[in-house]
Amino acid sequence: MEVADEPVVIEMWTDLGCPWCYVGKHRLQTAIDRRPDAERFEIRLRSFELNPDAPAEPETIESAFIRSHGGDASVVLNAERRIQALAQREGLAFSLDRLNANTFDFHRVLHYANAQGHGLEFFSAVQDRFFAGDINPFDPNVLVEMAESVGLSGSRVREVLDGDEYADAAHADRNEGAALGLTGVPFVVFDRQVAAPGAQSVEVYSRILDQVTSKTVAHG
Amino acid sequence: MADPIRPLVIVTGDADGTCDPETGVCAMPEPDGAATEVDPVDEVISESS
Repeated sequence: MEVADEPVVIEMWTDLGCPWCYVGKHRLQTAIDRRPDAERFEIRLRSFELNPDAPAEPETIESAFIRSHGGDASVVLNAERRIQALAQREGLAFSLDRLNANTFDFHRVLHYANAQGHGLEFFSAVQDRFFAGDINPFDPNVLVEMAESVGLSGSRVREVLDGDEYADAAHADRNEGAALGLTGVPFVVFDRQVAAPGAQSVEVYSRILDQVTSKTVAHG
Repeated sequence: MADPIRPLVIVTGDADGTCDPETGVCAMPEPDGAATEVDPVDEVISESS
């Protein structure tokens, strides 16, 4: 294999409910898709629970905000509207009627999906439809359905959801992200060389891709 | 993951937003804000080891 063809691993620490992770992943994918060597890049999704104390029972975004911060939900609604406008300008569906709940079980299923080589497909399918307001991903039956839609075994997903498989892996991801300097999500690590916190622009992601591939060529 | 933790260059490009694990709050862009293009190489803010 030519050095210039060697795969480049891009790890993205993310959480399902994080709107910037949604925007950032699409921008990263756009930056990759614009390249003639797009097939070189492998996005691996890493778990980062933003709110491990979130309740299992879904609640509205407004309710979650008031429960955790108190005060007036107009703060979060105004912010959501701004992100919605930005997302829609970039062609992304963005519903304000999303639910909020604990995402740990989702992350455990993500690890199962990663182990089967379908992590990105699974996460992307759930994330896109969640932000579009089409699904409640906190319903186990919905997660099973989404998993099956990308070729995963529904019965295995039910087994994962009914037990505690991949719990250690999900926790380990969070700890590893912190060790790498994560202070928020999304947090994208390119070939373990360069890290980019937050939802960067397509142009910034593109330049980082240029940077890491030139380093790979130079030092590979 | 078994990969060793290697030194990282952490870049900033005036990210539009991020979600803070400490507070659970997702920082929002200012209404008139726009992402500023930067050269990642020139915008190294820290290196971790």
